[in-house]
Amino acid sequence: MPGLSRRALLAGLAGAIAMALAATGVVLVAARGGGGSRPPAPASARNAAAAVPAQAEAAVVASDATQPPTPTAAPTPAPTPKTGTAAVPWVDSPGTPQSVPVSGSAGRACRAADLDVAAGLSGALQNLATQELTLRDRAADPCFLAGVPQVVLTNAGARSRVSPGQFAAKRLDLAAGASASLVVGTPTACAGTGQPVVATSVLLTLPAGDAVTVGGTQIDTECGAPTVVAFGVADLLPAAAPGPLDSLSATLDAPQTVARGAVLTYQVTLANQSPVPVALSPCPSYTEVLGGGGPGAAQRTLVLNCPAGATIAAGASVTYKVELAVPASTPAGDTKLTWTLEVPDGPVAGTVITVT
Amino acid sequence: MTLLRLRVALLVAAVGAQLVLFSSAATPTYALSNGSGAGIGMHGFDTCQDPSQRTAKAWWTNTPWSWIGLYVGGREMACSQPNLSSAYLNNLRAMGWRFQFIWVGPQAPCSGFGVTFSSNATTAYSQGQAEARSARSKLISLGITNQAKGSPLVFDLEAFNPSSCNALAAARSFVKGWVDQLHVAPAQSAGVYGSTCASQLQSYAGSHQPDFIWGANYDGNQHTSVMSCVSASSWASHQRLKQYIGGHNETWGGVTLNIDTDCSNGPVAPTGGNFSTACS
Repeated sequence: MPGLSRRALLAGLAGAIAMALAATGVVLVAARGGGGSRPPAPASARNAAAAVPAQAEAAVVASDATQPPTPTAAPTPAPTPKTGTAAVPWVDSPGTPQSVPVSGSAGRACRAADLDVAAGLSGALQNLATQELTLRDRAADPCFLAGVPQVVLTNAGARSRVSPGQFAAKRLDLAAGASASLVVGTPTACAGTGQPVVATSVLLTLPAGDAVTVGGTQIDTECGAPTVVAFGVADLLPAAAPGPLDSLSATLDAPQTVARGAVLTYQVTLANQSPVPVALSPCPSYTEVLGGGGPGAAQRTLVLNCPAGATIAAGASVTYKVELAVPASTPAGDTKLTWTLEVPDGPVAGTVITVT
Repeated sequence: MTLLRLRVALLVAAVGAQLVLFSSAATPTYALSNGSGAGIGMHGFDTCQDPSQRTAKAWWTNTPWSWIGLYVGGREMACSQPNLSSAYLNNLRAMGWRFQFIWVGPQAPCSGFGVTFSSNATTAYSQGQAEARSARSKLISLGITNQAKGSPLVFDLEAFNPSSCNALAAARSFVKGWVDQLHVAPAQSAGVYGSTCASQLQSYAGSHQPDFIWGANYDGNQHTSVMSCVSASSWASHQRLKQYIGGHNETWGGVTLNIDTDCSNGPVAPTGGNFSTACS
């Protein structure tokens, strides 16, 4: 058709499909504005699938989980609508990775008055009998421990001082209400006298200098000196500020094998597990990585293929078809494939595949 | 209407409406490799407190490891596990992680641990069965589907003195009870973790033996075929995991954990697939 580009025509046809869907009861909602501009059209010659504009493709994949999908007649030469099977293609548009969250966010050291300290589990670890101590930040704000607190057993004689082990300088940040776990271990086997030397309380001195006594412990030093064998917190990284895409989860469907030098094609499904729609606006980026923890990983960050003003309805999902070129230099064997939505606390989907 | 006017009208329609994408939630399909070549797919780690989802995310993205030894319960578990839940497992699984589930129940008699099993072999056998039932129930409560059928499950048996309190015979009997009970349909894959020498792993070979062992042998050698005090002919068919580096701090993705480093040439949840070569 002279005077009308294929891209523009198909974009227009998407609107027709959208209106047809509205007429058949498939949900269309008013645009909220605030961005949502469609990513640039694919530029890569190999991205044949992405030649279908995002809006048209989005209409193709739309289906209703609760109602039989209604096929929509589309004027020639638009693609014939299908239901629930096609995936939204990728677009070759560079994206922006987000900064990596780091621990160490608390602005002040913990004081004894900030902490509820209690005896936790007694157990077994690394061939040692263990006693856990829990340190909960009961203050209204985060605080940090610059290293493991000094632990002294109150009635263990020469073996009263607990070695900090590998944790003397390990900083832990405690969010308000969060708990750290400090585990003291002692040897269990020895040619001893069979006379247990059990410490039923300990004195913790915090890096800031103040101390707290904890009762209810069972630490037997008959067979050797005590050592800190674990010191951690349930969540080492700070929580991200809540975002509109928090309720999305991602799952990945990839082949089990891929050849070096080939293009790996796989699918990622974003599901909205919340009771409210999630707007893909502004359109987020994603990063895909083949490899893990070492040099030579194939990696790139692109913008998601968001239809203009697209929303994932409550309880619904959308599947994206994505690709990644596997360098010929990739080592053969098992490796990780990871897809990350580049939003704070965004979903990650991954698997292990074999490079042949 | 000219083509241009049609085009404009349709574009207005497209922009003026917010298209809602929805499809029935697909059941995710996870590709599990059978490990046909050398690689990283079978390396893992374990740490006393199961890592949070954020940490697991950072470590999936940045480490060469693909499975985590997760402590799920037992009266001798050393660290509390505030992160552990069905949703936690689902989210880590979606990231790509596989798991080895660890149960830390009563330890050998006269071992010095707080909770021990009986030195009477008959009683110890029953206690092994009871621990297996509890561990399996825990897996099911965590959402492991299909009654946890086929799922690997490891009993953590720490070091003990085999010559005191009939401990070796009791431990053998306890392990048999653990194995036999886990083999009751729908059966799980029964494993035992421990020091290759000090937990007497070789002693559990033979009839009623565990389906696999996870040996702690801190020689820095990832190959599971190399285990002190364990015969090369025992558990020789993709039946071994090895904890080859003991507790140490590692930082990946800006997050430091104190971990043991492991290699698997044996079953790992969720499917119990075998992995080979790099850890064999």
